[in-house]
Amino acid sequence: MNVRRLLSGLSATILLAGVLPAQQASWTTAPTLPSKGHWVLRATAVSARHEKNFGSRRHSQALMTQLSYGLDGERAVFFDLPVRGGGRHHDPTLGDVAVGWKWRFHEEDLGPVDTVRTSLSLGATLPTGADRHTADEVVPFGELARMRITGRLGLGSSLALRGAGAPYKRPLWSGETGEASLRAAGALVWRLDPVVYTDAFEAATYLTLEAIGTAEDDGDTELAIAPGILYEAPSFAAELSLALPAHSDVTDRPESRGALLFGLRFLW
Amino acid sequence: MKNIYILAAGVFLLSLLGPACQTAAPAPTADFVEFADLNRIGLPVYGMSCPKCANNIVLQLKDLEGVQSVDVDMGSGFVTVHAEEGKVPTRAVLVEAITAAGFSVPTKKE
Repeated sequence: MNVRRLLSGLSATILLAGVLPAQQASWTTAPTLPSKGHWVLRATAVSARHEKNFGSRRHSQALMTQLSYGLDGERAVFFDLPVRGGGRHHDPTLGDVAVGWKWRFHEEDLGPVDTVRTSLSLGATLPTGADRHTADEVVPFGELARMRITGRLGLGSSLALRGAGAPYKRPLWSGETGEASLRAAGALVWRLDPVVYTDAFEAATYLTLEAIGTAEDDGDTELAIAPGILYEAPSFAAELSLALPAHSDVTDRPESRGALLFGLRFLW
Repeated sequence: MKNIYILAAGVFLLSLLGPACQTAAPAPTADFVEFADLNRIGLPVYGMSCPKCANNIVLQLKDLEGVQSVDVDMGSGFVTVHAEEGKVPTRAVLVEAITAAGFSVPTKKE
């Protein structure tokens, strides 16, 4: 692993991600977790297009399911169960399952709505993936997430570091080429409705705008901009977001040409 | 390495959009106007930033013995617990449950 290069990238991104002080947007992890003894299920379907070598196109589909369980007001455990689409000639298969622990170590509630929160997640992906969708070894990861909500505006940022593993047979996304990778994301979440909360405990609708950047140890980088919409009722939420490529410089995998995400979240 | 700076610049530009859109924090209106009677108790709660987040409070409070229903007023930041007569949870029990839900009860002014 080129540690110097990775640390340089990490430092630069931490400095800038720190500028960002959201409700949970689609691609940016937020320091949200279920309360003690309760569960959150988040299922997202992602359909993406990839392109390599002037027109060699691929489509990919994935269904990501995350189950979180609240240990107390500050800690939760989570399990990620990815199912990867196989394309035209392969059946969907299980990807590498992730297990992790999330700790919201900072919480500053400034008013009825306003809050600033920060969390740290640590975990690992396990080599459960079948066929082409596995790193074939345990790969550790860590992620910092921060959000600040002021009135109708939420600002979020997350910074994730994933260790190196064996390369996927046909890598599509950052982290699948076997290189250690860094992912930085920023989100703006604007509450459209209601403009002002009242005594009616009702759903809210948000517009989201995110920037998602990835950098890998071999120098590959990508940046996407993702507008979206989030509908959030007290016990469930629905999200829709389209990630559009803004910059791509990758050599060991196809470039991402856009990804559509639809998700549902349930709290009980 | 140049590309990492392009990447970081994109994130930075996004962050610049934030302050221009920020609204002033609404002044809390229900602070410290707590009440309790035979079958109700109410107290202010901070940090209820979204409906799904705030529903964690409902889930925690409904787990308490005697609690029948919970009203959440996100506008004023006030939570009212309705309980069976004589089984109203104490303030300390409510604060503990709200904390376990990931929210805070502002300190009562003397």
